[in-house]
Amino acid sequence: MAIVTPGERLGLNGEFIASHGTVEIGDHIYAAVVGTVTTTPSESDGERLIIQVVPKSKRNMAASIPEVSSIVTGKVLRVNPRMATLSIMVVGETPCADNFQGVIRVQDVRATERDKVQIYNSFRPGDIVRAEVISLGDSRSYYLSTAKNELGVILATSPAGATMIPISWEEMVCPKTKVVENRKCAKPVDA
Amino acid sequence: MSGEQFLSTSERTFVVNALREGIRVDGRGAYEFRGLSIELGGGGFGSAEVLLGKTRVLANVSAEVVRPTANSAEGFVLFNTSFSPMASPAFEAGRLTEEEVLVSRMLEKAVRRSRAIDTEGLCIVAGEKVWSIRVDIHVLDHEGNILDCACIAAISALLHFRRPDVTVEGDQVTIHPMDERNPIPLSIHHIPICISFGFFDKGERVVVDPTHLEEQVQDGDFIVVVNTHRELCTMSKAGGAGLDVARIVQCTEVAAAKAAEVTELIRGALTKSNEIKK
Amino acid sequence: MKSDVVSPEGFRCDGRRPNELRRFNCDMGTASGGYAGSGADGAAYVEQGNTRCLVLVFGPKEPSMRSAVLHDRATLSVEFNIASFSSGERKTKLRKDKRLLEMASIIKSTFESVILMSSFPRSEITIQIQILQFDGGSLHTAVNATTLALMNAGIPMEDYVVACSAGFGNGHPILDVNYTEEGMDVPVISLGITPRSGKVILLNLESRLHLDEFEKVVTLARDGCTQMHEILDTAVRSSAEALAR
Repeated sequence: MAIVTPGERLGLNGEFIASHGTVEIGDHIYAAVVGTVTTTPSESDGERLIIQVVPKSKRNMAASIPEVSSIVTGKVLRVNPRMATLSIMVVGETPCADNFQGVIRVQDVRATERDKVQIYNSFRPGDIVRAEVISLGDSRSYYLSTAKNELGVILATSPAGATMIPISWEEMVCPKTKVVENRKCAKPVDA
Repeated sequence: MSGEQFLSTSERTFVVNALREGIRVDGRGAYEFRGLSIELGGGGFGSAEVLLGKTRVLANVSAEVVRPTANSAEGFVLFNTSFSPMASPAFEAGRLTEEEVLVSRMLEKAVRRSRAIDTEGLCIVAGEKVWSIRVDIHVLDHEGNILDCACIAAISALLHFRRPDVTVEGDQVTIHPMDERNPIPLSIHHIPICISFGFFDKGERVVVDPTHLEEQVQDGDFIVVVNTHRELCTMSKAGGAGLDVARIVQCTEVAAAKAAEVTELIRGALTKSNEIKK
Repeated sequence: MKSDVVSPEGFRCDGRRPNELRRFNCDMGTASGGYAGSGADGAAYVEQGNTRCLVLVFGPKEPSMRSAVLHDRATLSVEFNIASFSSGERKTKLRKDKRLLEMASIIKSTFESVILMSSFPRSEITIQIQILQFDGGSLHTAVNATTLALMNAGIPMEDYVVACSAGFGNGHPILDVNYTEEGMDVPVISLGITPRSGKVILLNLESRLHLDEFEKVVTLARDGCTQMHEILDTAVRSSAEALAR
């Protein structure tokens, strides 16, 4: 299909409905990005076709952004007695274009005995954690929760440098040194 | 934009609709300047206070002897603008707004880069002593079109300014005080006048000397600096509504005519101030 | 001794004819190759004669300054830098040099009116311009490179912004003025147009030009812009086709 560039006239707005990648100026519809033109029939308007310009770039313009109740994966940046700060890298299955910040507050670490939680025994900096978004939060970070069986630490590295293996929902062991460390582990998904 | 009053949609549409009928909100014609009054000498030589409508700008020129850069035989002309907070709630003391940068750059380009002032004539001893002329611009009241007003103030002040006379005998440099010998005016090659245009309705309507209200509503602006020899010194248009080349050429002709009018007013003010001295 | 800008045989100091553009070369998609580490969403490298310019585009992304957020449109921030090794003499750049701030402000105003800002409320688009080698015409080269970089980043725009410069020397209007000619006191008009409408969106003149010559020079600049548009369009299409394979 032929490539169109911004400023190229695509058609009249009586024939098409302008969609992604196009702009309507006056009576005409023009391309706004570099890409190929696609037309699809409209559901609501029987006479006009929906016209879009699909960019050829590898970068996905509609990059994943965390929403409430989406499962995210991130790395713990720092911990303090009240919360653990995460850098969210993956939403669902798609990586994020830019890393977002999220916090897991001490009361959201687990569902039971929420007031007796010690953050340092649940997460350590460098751990990879799977969590659920519970709120879009304030201007700086999303609010996350690991209060479910399948949420929590999925990957941790021991001080000896080996990948630790979970032995219960609150313990992980280093295969090299056999030292047991406390983490809030995610229940492994049955293959 | 903190402190700046936001404009309602009704006001915006009112201004544009009035222009479509050929009327400006303050009753002026599209190519008409507001009332211009120039007062010279209020603060001694080289002081000019210009009132353009309600926009008020004060310019002061001073000179001092400095070392030149490297071995050059040219003096300096420096501009310093200060947008006083009393001019508008949008100005804060000490913070350099984008508008301030543009105004001071425009003045530098209009006066310094166009070689309006003979900098070689400012040399006293080549490589050692030159005059550094400093123009301080104070914006006292902002009712639109600060740039044109500031430019008129700067040029009038420079034309009015007199520097002390200097005699050089071998190595001896004597700067004569103002009462001993008559001070000398600066050598000015040409008088650049800045004319600002405002565009409305996607470039269809053009006005000269926009008021503050018109500046906030306009689609784009266009600045022309021209002198009475019909030479364009500086032109600037960035962003805003696109303009046809024909429209731009037409504007430059209007600007040349306006510049001639303004130059006449400046010369009139200078003659008047000279007569008062006598 | 003042040499002629245009020799009696009709040649300029670099051998070009008065209405000839300098050799043009560009590279889009350097983002996926060399600049992926910087996180740039779009990049373009442009050579116009000996002037070389690199532009990186970041965004739309979270705004760095919370106070500058606009609720209904994106904010554009532009940084204009000239490398200290770019011209004949090494220059340590003065921080916040007013001239660079002005260039950045001009480019920002120009592109704000062409990018569809209302597509990305509450976000920021950052344009970083770096002049790597300076041989005159930095403003118009930067504008062309910015257009390519924005397209490479997939940021929707109404149209291209193509720019070119023209001057006047020895009674001849000349196209695409280089550094040597600028030094010969040639007045230079930098012109930027949107090719679809042919309307002028950027015009910059910083030295004296007689009004009677103005129309000729600006028309020549506009024709130069039209030529540049064809060159840029070809480059954009071939780069997009290469990406598809």
